[in-house]
Amino acid sequence: MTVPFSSYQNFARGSVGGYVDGTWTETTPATTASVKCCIQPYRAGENAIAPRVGGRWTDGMVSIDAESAIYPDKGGAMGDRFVYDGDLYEVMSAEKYVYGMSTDHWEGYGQKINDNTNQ
Amino acid sequence: MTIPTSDIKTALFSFVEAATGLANNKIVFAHQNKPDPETSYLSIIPILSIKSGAGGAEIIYPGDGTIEVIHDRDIVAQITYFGPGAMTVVSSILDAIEHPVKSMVFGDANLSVRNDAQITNLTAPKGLSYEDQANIDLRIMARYSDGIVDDLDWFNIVEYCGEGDLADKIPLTRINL
Repeated sequence: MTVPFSSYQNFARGSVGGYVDGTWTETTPATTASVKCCIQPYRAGENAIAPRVGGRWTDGMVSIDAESAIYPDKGGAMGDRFVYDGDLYEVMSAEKYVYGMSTDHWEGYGQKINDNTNQ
Repeated sequence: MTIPTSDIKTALFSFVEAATGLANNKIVFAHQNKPDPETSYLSIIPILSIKSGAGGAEIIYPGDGTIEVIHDRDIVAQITYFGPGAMTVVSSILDAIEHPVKSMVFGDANLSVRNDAQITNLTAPKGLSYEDQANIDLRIMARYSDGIVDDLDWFNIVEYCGEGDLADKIPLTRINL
């Protein structure tokens, strides 16, 4: 049994990234997974896992509770990509929670992809 | 045209790749919001600063009602290596500047290059230990044209006519532009 989320979210999965001639280059995601889940903006109390320059921030971050697997980046493979509130996000962390009851699910967080530098 | 950013980036990358012998995927342009390469790598800020060159702008009047401005720019590029032997790797870039064949890539792109500042050892803590880091600044000189090719429309009618003793001696001539 899993947590009964009611709405589906598409996750683009399987893109691979690396540097070519100095510029980051990614392949097109190989598959799209439709996952029942709940995505929410980070709340003030959830600021413990996002270290950045100058402290810990939650700007541009969302928490994800999903009924089935979601994947962060691993090696050269990029994390699942999804569109939330009109912006593109990437899954940065995901863990499976198994309680042995009707609440098994995946929890993770996503971060807005920022492409505002191109010098 | 505007400052040739693309030419500068291409020339810089080729030059640094040849000078250091590093693998293609170990040389990156900085600040892309993407993961750093694993272990050692070299980061390039292709345009750290821009200022007018010592010669100033050259303004050319070809005589056909147009103006061509040749801009002269001094651009500073910053190169930093992260990893063991950083001073040696960055020193190889300085060596290559003085090597006519290795620095020819800039000439081919209508640019020139020279050393701008001393190589600096920036070794700093990273995680639980120190990491070798070294930096060099290159000064790249670029000249590019900014032509004004349209009708300037500074005047619409020119009238040639005489004054004083020449009054009525020169027939009225009009040039309508």
